[in-house]
Amino acid sequence: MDKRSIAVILVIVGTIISLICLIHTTPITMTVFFFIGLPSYVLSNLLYIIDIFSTLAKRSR
Amino acid sequence: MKKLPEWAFFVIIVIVPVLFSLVTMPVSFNRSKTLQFCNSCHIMTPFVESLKDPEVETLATKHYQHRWVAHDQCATCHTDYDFLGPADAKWRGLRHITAYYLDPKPKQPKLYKPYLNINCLQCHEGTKKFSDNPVHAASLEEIKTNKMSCLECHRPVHPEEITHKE
Repeated sequence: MDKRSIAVILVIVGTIISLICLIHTTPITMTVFFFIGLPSYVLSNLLYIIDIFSTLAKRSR
Repeated sequence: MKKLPEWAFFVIIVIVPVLFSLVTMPVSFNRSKTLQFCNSCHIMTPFVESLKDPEVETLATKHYQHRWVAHDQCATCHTDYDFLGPADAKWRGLRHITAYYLDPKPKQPKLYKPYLNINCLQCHEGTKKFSDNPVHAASLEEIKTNKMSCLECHRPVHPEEITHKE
């Protein structure tokens, strides 16, 4: 599985968690959003950036 | 997944998370100020019930029943009255929940730091009733610098059978 696929899966996980938090805001859904949902989004963006840079590096070689 | 065009990846991985974060964070932040939100955590239920109990005469109950604090009563008193107060209050709340779920023997939640008088003074300071009280006038400096806590005289805040439960 390549980096982009993992990034998309992380976005899906984060989006499901944030939708649950929006539909039913409770202390536990909010905690899950802050400690799992948001880090999933951040990690997916990092993977995407790393993938872009590694692709650019391959092309320049 | 590699068949998707480049812009689709950008939308899915960058735009969607930004949009969802921008909606979820303020909405959940705002909802978490309500009394219903605090009551949805079972450990807080006795505190919220005591607010509504006509037999209870604690400081928090009076503030709730007389509507001295019109809405979001828990958050209004438990949020420090400064620039980062609301964010800090939410962070402390998240710490309470995380500690509760990670602790094998969950304890009664306690304040992480002493209660600041500024949270009382944000409403009471400058009011006639507050200023006319000779005790307040004599010890205003101590009250403002937290050397003397408002709660030393104005207690109990919540029923002691709940706050001292272990």
